[in-house]
Amino acid sequence: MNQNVIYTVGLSKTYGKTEALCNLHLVVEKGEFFGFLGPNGAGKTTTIRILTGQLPPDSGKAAVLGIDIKNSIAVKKAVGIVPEVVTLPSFLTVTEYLEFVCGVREIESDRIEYWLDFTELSENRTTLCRDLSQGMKQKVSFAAAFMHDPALVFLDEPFADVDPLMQNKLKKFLKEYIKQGKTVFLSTHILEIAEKLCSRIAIITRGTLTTTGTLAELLEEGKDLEEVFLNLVR
Amino acid sequence: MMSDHLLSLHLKEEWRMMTSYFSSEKLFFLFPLVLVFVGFLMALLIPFIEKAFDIKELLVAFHLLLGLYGLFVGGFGFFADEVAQTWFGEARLLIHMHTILPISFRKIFIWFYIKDIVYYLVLTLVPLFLGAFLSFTIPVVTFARIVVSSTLSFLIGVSVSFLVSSLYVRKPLSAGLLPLVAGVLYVAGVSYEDFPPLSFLFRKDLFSLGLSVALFITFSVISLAITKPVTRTTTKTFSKSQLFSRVDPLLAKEIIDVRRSGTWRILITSYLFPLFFLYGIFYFSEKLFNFSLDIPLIFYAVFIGYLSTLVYSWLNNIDPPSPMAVLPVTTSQLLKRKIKLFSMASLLVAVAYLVALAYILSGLDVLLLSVYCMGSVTFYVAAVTAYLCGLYPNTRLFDGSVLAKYLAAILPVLILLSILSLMRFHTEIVAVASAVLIFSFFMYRRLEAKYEGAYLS
Repeated sequence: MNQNVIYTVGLSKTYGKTEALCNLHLVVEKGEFFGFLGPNGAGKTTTIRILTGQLPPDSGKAAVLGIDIKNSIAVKKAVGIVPEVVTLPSFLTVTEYLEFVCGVREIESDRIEYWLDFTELSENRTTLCRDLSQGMKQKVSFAAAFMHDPALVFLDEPFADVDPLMQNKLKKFLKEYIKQGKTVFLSTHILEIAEKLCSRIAIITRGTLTTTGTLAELLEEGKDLEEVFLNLVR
Repeated sequence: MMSDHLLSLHLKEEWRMMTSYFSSEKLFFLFPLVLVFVGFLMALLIPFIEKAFDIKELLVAFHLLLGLYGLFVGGFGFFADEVAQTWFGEARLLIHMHTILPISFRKIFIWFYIKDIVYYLVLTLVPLFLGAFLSFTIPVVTFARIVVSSTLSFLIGVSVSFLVSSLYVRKPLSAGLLPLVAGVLYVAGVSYEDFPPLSFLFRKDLFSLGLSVALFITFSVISLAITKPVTRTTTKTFSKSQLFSRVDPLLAKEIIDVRRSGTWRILITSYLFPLFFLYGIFYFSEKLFNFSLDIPLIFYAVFIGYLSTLVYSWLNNIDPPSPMAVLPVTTSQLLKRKIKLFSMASLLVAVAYLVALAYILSGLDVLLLSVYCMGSVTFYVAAVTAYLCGLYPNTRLFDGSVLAKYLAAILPVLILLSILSLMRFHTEIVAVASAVLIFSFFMYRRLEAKYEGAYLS
């Protein structure tokens, strides 16, 4: 049985003259907490946008949960996405947005209360999304991504705006999520988070994958992830 | 030094924001060139127009138009940041930088205000005047006086707009003071000729010139003195809408957007100005050609149907589609919901206008036919606009090739129906409107194929 939940061959993308992604070969297996690291502008978000059907690649192929990324709707139905820049519909309230997500995904809306409670947004349920703080928006986005209990989630800097208490709660949740045999693709440049959570890590620099491996494989004797990262990206 | 820098940064920002709406910067340069041509043509036609019109009336209209333009420029400038926030999320204009940098809002605002004046003077009024000057039809001294008086009309318009906006931000009710003052002046019998720039133009007195400048400076100084940043201090809450259990979620979202954003008010009033404009054209045509044009209701129905493009544009302007990018939603699904809502909203409003016009024009006998004709034009215009521009009609229509296709699709239908309406060929109108309706359904169905695989961003 094929255990690869993400499989890419030669993915490339350019924006004008800037090469955002260059010949990316990547395999992520089921049940992995996969960390995708890189400095700002390295191509992390572009990779996620391509893999989740938000952006077409210029060349190369990829499949997510066995679905060709060209079938973007099927990909988006199957996975959960927390984007780096969270944009929510301005004029819907928090509850309405989650109900909207359930409607679009054609699932029952009985999990809304659980997620409002989990993300501690119960008191803000009637607030318009545009009036939420950035951290609250991120929490709504997190709830929306997990509402349909996907087998794979793409998280693009998901902890950037949430407070430490919520960060801790989300990390625990993600660890449990992995134990259920599901997969997380986490893009971040915060090395401590990757070090604590990820079972395997890839580092990308200027659109090119520079290394992939388990944490143990990446860490040479006496070195920590920060040193390895700095050596690779400089 | 810093002040010069602020002005140039504001100007760059405005330029980049405006050009971002166009497919290329070159296309944006066409705009002032077109204005040079318009100015040239307007001045060239003066000797002919003079025979049919009182030139004084035209000059008054021109000055009032520039005053209104100034009001528009000022209003847009003041709320541009709010618009940018809605569309670009965290993208912020320079005017908002007082929140994170050690600079006062007033200091940024002063240069923002100067930028608005410089930018729109250079981009629109200067080319218009240049074109008129190049025609060499107006004596230099008269021309110079018109330039000064009309520029002052524009400046007073901008300053009034900023004053009203500043008052509104401070205390919404106080903005009503200005219409009140205007009303008092009207009741007191002050005529438009007493408007200082016009008074300077017609009476050639320096006092009016000084008064015009003083008004502009006074309004500006008050506006700058009382200004404060636009901030949303209240968090709006709403009980859960029941729409999600009644209609599909995409349509429910669109309806809620229209209600809560206040766009429904714009939808209702967006027909008013163009209808008033159309009436103005007929009024002047009547004077120019010296014969009475008996415009039938169906002609207005065609025009109202076309105006629905505005409504469709507004619907696409409420909220950007970016949140949908992470959900399993296609562009064609969004487009179809927009057209559904558009058809419901615009028909409702447009039929109301048509009924009112039928009453005014005594055209109740052709009301049903007019509604049918308007409905088919409305749906056709929406289908063509959606087909060619997708979710971005406001920006895509600035693309030369898209605009050419749009005009090629729309104009023949409008011209044909307008001619048939003026000739009162009702059977032919039914036939053409029906054909247009069938073609609209065809285009509506083609949306899916055209936008299959289109990426939302």
